[in-house]
Amino acid sequence: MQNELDLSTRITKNLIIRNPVMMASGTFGHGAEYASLFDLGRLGGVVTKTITFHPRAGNPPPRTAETASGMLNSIGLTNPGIDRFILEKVPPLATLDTCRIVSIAGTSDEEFAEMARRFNDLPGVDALELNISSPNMKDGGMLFGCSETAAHGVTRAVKAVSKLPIIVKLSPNVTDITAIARAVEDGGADGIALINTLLGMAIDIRTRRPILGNITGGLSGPAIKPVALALTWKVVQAVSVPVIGMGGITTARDALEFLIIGASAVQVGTATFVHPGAALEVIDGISDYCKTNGMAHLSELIGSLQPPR
Amino acid sequence: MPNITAFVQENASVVQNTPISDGVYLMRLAAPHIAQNIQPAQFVQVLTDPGLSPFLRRPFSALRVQGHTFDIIYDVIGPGTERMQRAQNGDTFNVSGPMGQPFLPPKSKRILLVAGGVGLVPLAFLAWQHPDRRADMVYLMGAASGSRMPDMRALLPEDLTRYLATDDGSLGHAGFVTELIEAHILPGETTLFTCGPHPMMARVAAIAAKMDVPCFASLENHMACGFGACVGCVIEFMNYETEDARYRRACLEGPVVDAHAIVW
Repeated sequence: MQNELDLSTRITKNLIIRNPVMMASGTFGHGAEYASLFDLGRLGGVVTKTITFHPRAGNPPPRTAETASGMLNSIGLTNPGIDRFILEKVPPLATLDTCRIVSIAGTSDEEFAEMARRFNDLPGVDALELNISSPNMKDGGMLFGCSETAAHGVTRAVKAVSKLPIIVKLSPNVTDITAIARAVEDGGADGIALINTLLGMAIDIRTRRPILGNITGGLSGPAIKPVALALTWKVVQAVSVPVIGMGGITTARDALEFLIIGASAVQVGTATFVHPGAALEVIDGISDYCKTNGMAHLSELIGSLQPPR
Repeated sequence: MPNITAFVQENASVVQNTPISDGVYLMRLAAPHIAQNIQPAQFVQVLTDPGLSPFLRRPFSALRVQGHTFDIIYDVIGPGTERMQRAQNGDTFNVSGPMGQPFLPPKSKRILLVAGGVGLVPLAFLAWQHPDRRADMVYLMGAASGSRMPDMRALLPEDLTRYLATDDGSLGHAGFVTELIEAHILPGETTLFTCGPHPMMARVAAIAAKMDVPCFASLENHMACGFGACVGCVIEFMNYETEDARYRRACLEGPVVDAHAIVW
């Protein structure tokens, strides 16, 4: 009898998920509302839309603009705030048979820490992802992710109070992403996720106005995949904690590239907007690839990058 | 609570794809589940190219359902609709739907439908879907000029009362369609439904507010996903209890909204 392929993977020191494909923050609501779209139990994990301390309206529309092989967004972290999130969104999230990660963003170290503290001993949340990389949050977000000192400080502040595994999501809009990655690892991060969106802009030449109401936004989709892959490759070599790669992953082929360069898992984001079941096709494609290449465990694939010819 | 996940994906085959006026096409698609379930002002998301260019799907509301087919109308304005224009009978498009909140026929004695451009579509569907209320309906249709006005005989039920207006006066009333509204309002007994360019709908809403009649608009915001996940297609509301309810999604909480509740 042939052994079952084992796709499980470690995304933080203490957290193993059943397969390496997760839904990226901001592209799948709070997870549970899409439970009838497909069997969420097939996913490696779900990362919620980012939660802030206070409710946020988000940015004025228009909030999206299509670009070549991708899109810009300037949503601005619309969310009900942490109190209502815990009251209304965590109970349905808790029912999901997959790894449940809550994305949080604060405006100060103290606010990040206070939010993290509230998830201690809350059943149904398996880990936190610190969003220190949103280009659409003027009072926080990328401000933390662009400075080694700030990134280190916020990670430490959260780690000091949180009982949950902490994943820190990095911004690509920096000079040296490996320095930021090392800073958050040094601050105690249990895992690193990257990349958030690239800062972008588009103009309507007829009116000469920015297309986005917020003027600039974040670029995502297949257009950013090569950038995401290179940055993930750099970070994998710079740190020893598990790295979750993302940025433009649309097909299994895309995901395989990230796993081969050493990402322990991947997140599918913008692709879901166009193909709601994209993540499932990615899982099936990874599975097929491993079987075709005679692998029994995903770990044989992760970091199997060969030197250039 | 809006039902997010009632939509399906179907590979819809093109049964007809013909011009109905200058740059405006009617496409008939065979897709049994969507045809059976779609309601007026609900929309479908058409993947115009499987090769991700253009990247996002394009939203279209239905004009009419016949058997296992439904009709959409599109203005050729960019790379997505240019691909649709080139489609031959038998070609297929991956289509997801139906999505969004429908127009529901009101109890009022008079149902006034005010359409501009391709905004004619959901209002025509309302008339097609409710033959029992058709005698109460009056359809007002505006276009920039006669060449941009499709032959409405092919698009509307024969027994639907209709008045046309063109900005340049080449067909019907010379001027904006909104100038026809007040004469057709029966005070206290009319509900307005509108779909068309934003300034036109804003004007319709203002007239409805002045005449103190209910008004529902179907909005055409830029969309990415169409099923509530991206939160990109939002509409600003005037009143909200918590900050996160200030903007609501056109795809899920809309596209039909109470025209008196939103910021125009």
